Amino acid sequence: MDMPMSFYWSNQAIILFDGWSVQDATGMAFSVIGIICAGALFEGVKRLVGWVGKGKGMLVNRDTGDTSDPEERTPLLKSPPDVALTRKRKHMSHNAVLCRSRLRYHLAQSLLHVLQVVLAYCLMLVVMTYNGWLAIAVFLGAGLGYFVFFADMEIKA
Amino acid sequence: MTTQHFLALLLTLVISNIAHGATTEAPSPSPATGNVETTTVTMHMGHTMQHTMDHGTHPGMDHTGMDHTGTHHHGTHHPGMHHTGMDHTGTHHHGMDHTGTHHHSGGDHAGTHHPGMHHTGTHSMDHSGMDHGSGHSSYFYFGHHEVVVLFLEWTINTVPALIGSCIGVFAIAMLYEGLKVWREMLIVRAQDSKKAASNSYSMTNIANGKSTSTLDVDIAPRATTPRTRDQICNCMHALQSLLHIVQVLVSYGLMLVFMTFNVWLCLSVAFGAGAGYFAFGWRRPITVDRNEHCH
Repeated sequence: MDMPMSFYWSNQAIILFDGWSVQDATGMAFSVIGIICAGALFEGVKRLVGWVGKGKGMLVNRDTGDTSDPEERTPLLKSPPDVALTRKRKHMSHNAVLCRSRLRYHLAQSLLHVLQVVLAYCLMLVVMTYNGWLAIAVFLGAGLGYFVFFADMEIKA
Repeated sequence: MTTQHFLALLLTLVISNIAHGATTEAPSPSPATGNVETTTVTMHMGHTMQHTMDHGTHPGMDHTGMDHTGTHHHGTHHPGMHHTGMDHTGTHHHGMDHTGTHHHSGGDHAGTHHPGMHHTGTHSMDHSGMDHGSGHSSYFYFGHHEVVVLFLEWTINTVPALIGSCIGVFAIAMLYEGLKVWREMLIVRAQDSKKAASNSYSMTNIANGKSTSTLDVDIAPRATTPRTRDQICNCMHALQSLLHIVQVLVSYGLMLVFMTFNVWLCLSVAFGAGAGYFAFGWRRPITVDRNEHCH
């Protein structure tokens, strides 16, 4: 199994799966659009993980009892490799974590986290095909996703 | 540090590569024509080949009809190439017709170390004795021969080039950390000025460099927003999006540099990140939460 070791520009590529083989410019164009959407979706999932259970009293700091979300202090400015390779507890769980509704929200957040990690690794593997068009698609998707989903960062009064 | 986890990822890659190589070590007859050539076909998958290779120096090897001009081998006919025992799962030979008598023993392309093999330009290559194996190393190595970093033009062949590349990669990793801190500073500074504009906030705090605003990411859309805030919002957000693209680009580039598996380059990435974190960290506007151990 050989991988290219430097960037190349070609309309032929095989992306992630043997079945996803791109042969011509049209296929490459569609794949680029798809990867842009996947990159944007990844940024959206990043926001979604923080949004689920946000207003439900989930975010209680274990030490200080502070209910502000510690993650919201700019760690969302992470790039996909940072996200994929960082294992961190995003939300502090209260002592009563085994309360049923909290458990449900925590489970949902965990599943979303799994989805986020999967997407991050997939995007990284797409860049690792070393195809110039696909790499550009990943970068543009990240920028577009950030622009769309992180548009409402506001100050806390 | 992200590189620690990246090492874990690379470890799994190495393990999977070894496992894959083991399965392709099928016993097969030695090559009929005496010249053992691990195929160059898999090397060309995905490469834009803009040359014709001169195979005249191959006794017994029949490459007539092998078309290396162009990019891919899907559907091309390769008379004379026979891949017995070769496991092609994962190597991309869709639609290839392999007839003929040419035998490839083993077919294990993983683990053979030939970084930096590239075929730019038109030239006649002497294949006798040259092992075409995998162009990508699957394990860490110390060396400065034929190291291709990201682009074919960035090839390291000498020690001074390696030293220069290490310094360059170190600087890029350092600047990446600085970029992250800079983005945080921009956001906080913008919100400080917004707060001052909308709440007639005291300017003394900003002049003292202190920032009391924290980011509150609010998903629920606001009904009304003051106009001045809109203007500042859009400019700052567009800039932040552009910086996000740059950050993603640089982070992927550093990951790919690490993937060259060259020990010197990897160390440069790691130490550059550490130096950048150290140098720019004191300017970080928001103290890192103790649970955010890997930013």
